[in-house]
Amino acid sequence: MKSATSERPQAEPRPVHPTPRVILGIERNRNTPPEVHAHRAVSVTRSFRETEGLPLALRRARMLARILDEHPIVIQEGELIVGLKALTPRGSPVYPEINCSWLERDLDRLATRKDTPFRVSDATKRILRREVFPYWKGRQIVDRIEEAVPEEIRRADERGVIYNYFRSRSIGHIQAGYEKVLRLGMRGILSEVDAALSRLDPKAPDFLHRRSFLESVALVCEAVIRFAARHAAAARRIARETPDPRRRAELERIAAILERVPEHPARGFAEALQSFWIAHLVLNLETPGHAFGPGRFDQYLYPYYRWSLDRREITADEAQELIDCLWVKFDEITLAKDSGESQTSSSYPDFQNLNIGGLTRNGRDAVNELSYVCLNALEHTRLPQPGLSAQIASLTSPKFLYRCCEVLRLGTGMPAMFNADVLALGMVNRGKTLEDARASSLNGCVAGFCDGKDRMASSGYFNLAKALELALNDGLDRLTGERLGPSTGDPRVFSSFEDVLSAFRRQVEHFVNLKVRYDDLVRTIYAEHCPVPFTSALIEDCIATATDWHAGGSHYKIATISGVAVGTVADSLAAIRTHVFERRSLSLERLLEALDRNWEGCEDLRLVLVNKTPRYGNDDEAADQLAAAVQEIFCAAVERHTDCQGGRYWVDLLPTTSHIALGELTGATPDGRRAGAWLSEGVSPVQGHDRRGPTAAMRSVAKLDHARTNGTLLNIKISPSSVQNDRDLHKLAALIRGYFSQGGHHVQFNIVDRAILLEAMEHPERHRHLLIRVAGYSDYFTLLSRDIQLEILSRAEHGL
Amino acid sequence: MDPGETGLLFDIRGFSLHDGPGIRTTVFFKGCPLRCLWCCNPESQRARPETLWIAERCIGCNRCLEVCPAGAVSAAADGSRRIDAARCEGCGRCALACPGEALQVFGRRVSVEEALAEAARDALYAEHSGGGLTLSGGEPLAQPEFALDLLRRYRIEEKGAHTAIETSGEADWEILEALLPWVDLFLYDLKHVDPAAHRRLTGRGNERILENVRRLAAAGAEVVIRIPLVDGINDDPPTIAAAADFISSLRAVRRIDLLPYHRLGEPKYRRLGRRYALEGKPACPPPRVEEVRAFLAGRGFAVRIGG
Repeated sequence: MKSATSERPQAEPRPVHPTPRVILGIERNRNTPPEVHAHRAVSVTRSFRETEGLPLALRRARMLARILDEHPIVIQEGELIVGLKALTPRGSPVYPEINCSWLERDLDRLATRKDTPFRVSDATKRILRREVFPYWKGRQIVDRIEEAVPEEIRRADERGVIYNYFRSRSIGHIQAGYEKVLRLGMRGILSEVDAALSRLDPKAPDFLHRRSFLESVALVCEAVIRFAARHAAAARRIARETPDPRRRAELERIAAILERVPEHPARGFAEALQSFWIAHLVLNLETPGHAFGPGRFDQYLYPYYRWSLDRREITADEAQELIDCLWVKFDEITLAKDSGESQTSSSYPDFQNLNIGGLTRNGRDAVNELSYVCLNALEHTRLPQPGLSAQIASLTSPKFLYRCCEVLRLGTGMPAMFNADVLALGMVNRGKTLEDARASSLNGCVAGFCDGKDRMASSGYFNLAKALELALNDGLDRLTGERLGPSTGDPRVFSSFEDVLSAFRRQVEHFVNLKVRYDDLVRTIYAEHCPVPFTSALIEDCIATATDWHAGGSHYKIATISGVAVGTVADSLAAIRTHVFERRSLSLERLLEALDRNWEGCEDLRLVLVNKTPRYGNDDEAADQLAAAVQEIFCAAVERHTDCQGGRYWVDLLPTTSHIALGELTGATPDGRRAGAWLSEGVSPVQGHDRRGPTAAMRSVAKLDHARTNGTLLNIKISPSSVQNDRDLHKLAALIRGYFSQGGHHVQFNIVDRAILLEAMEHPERHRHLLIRVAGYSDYFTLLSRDIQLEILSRAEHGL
Repeated sequence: MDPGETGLLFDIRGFSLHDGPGIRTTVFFKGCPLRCLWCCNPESQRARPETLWIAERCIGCNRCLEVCPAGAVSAAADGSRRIDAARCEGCGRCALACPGEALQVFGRRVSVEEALAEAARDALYAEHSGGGLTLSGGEPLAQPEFALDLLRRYRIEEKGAHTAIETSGEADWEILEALLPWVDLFLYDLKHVDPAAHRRLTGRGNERILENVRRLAAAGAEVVIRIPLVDGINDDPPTIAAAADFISSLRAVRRIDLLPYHRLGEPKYRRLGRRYALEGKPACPPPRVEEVRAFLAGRGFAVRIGG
């Protein structure tokens, strides 16, 4: 019995090294400074000027068609998979139709700002200022939102209680049906559109509306075919000018592939990957949506991989090289974001969450050779993108988990580890069929999703610590004194801990109501003003019901709100309960006065609260039950709502990097935290206060109800010295198994020496390649802002 | 079984990775018959509670002075605290009152039930990793009834989980013999093979220690020999060769863990108000560790560094 369930060492197929062309691509990405390009914005603006008066769906389709028809085609040295989102790798197009006010404001500062700077050439600035910005004043989505948002909601947003991130980017969170593109091709989708058109009832009142939607889908499918053909033509042209016969043959092959896909179904691995990439690019060019995820990549691509290998069309090494090349392509994708936005999710990487492993639709082990090929690709490229997520079910083989741990040890923070069983359980609870639940994936950071059928869309953050602040200040902002929330009673006269909880509950309920109103308003504006025909083409039921994805056309729909600072609130409540109501060694009045003074002159008290309070993350029931209570209060407040498109509301508990920005807007908290300091992130314990090791932290965190959320995020930092040898890797695997068997949803590891991080802050030039797990993504440590670097350092490091 | 059996412990830690296979819970016994010069856990040596003062955390609030019922805490002119070990009863009131956690009490009486409940917390992680429970110290054999009870009850409650004991072997054979059926792995220290040198370095001779490990090996116990490698003290070639000869003579024992000397224990001596015999001595240099490892590996042992 002793080692019956332990992870035994397995001989692994030794991955080959990255080939020269892959290394070339990695270097190209690293050495090309991110830059903003204007061509998309110009196409969009000219198209919109010319189509005034047409139905909006058709205008948007013509817009996308024009973007694709005018998109500059770039084929880079050594590439096997082609297509760039902008003129240069890690270049960003501009999406003026959503929000270009921020860009107009920041245009001259963009190259020098603290977080994620972008170059902008003078020519780009000129054309944006002359042609683009003036047209979109009053027409951008963000203007329409600003106009419609009531004062009360605006203030809650500005003061950091709630945050809606559809202002600078569109709703996104899309795990499109790439499988459908590979299987049917654009021609197949066009047939689907024809069939749907023939089913429309001409007498129905919305007939014209639905017809123009379907026509818009057809229009973009044709445009995508032309887009691929232009790439093919470019490849043929470059081939003719290429003296090297081997490269010439490659270019000819690239051209042949693009002459076939994505117009037609893919045959074999190379066609499938190129077809996938074109679809991915076009989605990225249609909207600046949050998080376009490849989803269950190793599942829908495996048949093509197998087909090519079985026919000896390619070797395993060639297949590996193709995947490595695709990893380089993923890493080229970025987006210039509003400075405010880049604080709450500060990164160049753009949340392309690629899943491997997990369960099949009928509940078997889904791991296949391609799952390993993807792990090898991460090992070869060590790039921050795509975000690699490994789904581990209780039936997943030790071999696969062990290989994941081996790759984790490289210190890139990837793959992020997910519990496939809990994911499926939660998905069933959120209304998916059992089969769809097993086939689901993670999108963005850690959010559950059903590939090609869903609209999940977390709409932004909810600052639970700010809600507690308001509960302890009768609804007034402690930092500014202004009224934000309802009056929930003078806290100095609270006579029991239940009074505190009940004021907190009322503040949470109030702001959840506001947040839902906010979301509905934003959703309605997107539905009315931003049809997305290509996205709709790839999401089940949109064509069949002739309903745009932004208007709620997807097969499944849920809405989620991301709760931030569970740990900070749990520890704060524990401090109040312990010192005010149990030991009676502190009056609420004195505590509130200390909070008002931001602990000035109250260091004794602050230390007592920090050190003499049961704290979440140490398997201490006194604190952990309060974390569970916070979740319960938040879930209960959220789950009663349904959005304007019939999507039920659920909670997720992930912060991206908002715990830093929202922390700046939050006053001192009873756990001893100072005003403006970070909040706790995800479901992790307050930074540095999980003192009893990772198993204790995991046990605490597992006491939350993860299946009830659409995703939770846990960071664990492990010292590299504790995973030096193979036996240690088995222990890491066991740590993951243990957490998952207790019901945890997700865990990610940073396995980097503290000394190295400190040195990297001092000498960034020596550590340009150092990757680190930030929130639901990895990024180069030296490119992070100092705040985030410090935050990562402060997370407790485990290991003996 | 005596329901009132308690042990004097100074820590119980989950997620122990280097005290036997898998993820383990390690129970640290307080009290040790030896006084090794290099000991990095001086708080484990005395068989009674002790209070430590950590200067860096003290905010000078004087609460410790107010709450100590024995009058054991005093403040010097420079603000530093002194704890009179003779007076301190280890009641822990000062630590409880100290806002900055500058005072820590090491050593508290723990019942078998309490220790088992702690170990049960990591049971799932132990199961997935083939881990279990390790008794360490201090010297677990110095509290034989508690050690035996704990191991026996653990085996019954966590069926199939692995048990280990880290020991100096300085105890009567009957104690080890009684533990034999309940211990899967003995992590057995070999500090020096020469009795006189052993006495000089640890305060006691090693006759009983060597005899006990011979009997353990003969009884078929799984034994790993752990050698604390203190350069300049027990790492000279003849000493290492003699150690290798001795371990070879045990026949069944094939594994050696080398524990290179480090100085992480140094600040604790200061905090306990005690003098450290090896003050200022740098950590054992890695090349030296490698030489010894290679030598022992050449003698046919499976050698790990750091256990």
